[in-house]
Amino acid sequence: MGGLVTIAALARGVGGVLVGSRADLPAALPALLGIPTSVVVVAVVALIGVGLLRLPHARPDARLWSPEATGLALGITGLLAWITGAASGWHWGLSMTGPSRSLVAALLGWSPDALTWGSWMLIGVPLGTWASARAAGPLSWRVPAWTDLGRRLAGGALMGIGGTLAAGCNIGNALTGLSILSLHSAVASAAIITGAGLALATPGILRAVLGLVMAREGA
Amino acid sequence: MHSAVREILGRQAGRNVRAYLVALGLQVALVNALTAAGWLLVTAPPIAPVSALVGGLVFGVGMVLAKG
Repeated sequence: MGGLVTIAALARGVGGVLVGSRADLPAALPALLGIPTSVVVVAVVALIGVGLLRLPHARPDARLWSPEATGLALGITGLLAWITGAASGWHWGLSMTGPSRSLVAALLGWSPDALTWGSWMLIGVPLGTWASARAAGPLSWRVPAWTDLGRRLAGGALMGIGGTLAAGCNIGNALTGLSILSLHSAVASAAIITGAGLALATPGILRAVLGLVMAREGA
Repeated sequence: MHSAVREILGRQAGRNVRAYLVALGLQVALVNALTAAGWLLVTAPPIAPVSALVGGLVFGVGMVLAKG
């Protein structure tokens, strides 16, 4: 019991340092550069366009949508999220982490009024995934192997912790936050890519993290 | 995103990087256009550098673990 209290106090202390927002720093790229938003937007879109032109084209695959069609669908979905969300007071496009938290809070009865636009959107995600998979052909339930299940659970827990700390996941930060040129999202997105890159490049990190998480869960 | 990082590391930016860039470019252009037209209310949250950095790293590692 004493241990738990200590851990809770420690977590609060660490959390206080970690979560500290810096309202004194510029929040978005135009403010940082001192350039009008419209100019920055044109420059960013032009940069992305140049990147798309210079990138090698992907080999066409008859089973998959083209990258352009996929990107178009995702971009339009994100835009629709901004537009439809705004109508119900949700002034932040697509996002997964915040809605996951408020959905759990609502389901556990902590705050039933936490069923935000984001929570309802989140409920739609598995339904839409199922429908699109169904439309693409026959489907069946798959259960991952036990070892794989532990790995996925540990990964999911890290995504929850990391996403909460970073105030957003890859969707909330790298798609939605970057679309409004948020500097917080720029730092978080770069860190997500770095973390994923590190994990992919050095399987040893994965084993170490997994061992640590498993030991904690077992304790 | 996981697949896109995989593509970048393999030094062959493929379909996932392209799809992401198309989606991001479209959103940057249209969301800001609608905001300028007064249709959307957009405020960038204040930056929390340490939590963005630490949280992002943890999330990135978790993403690779979870997707196998």
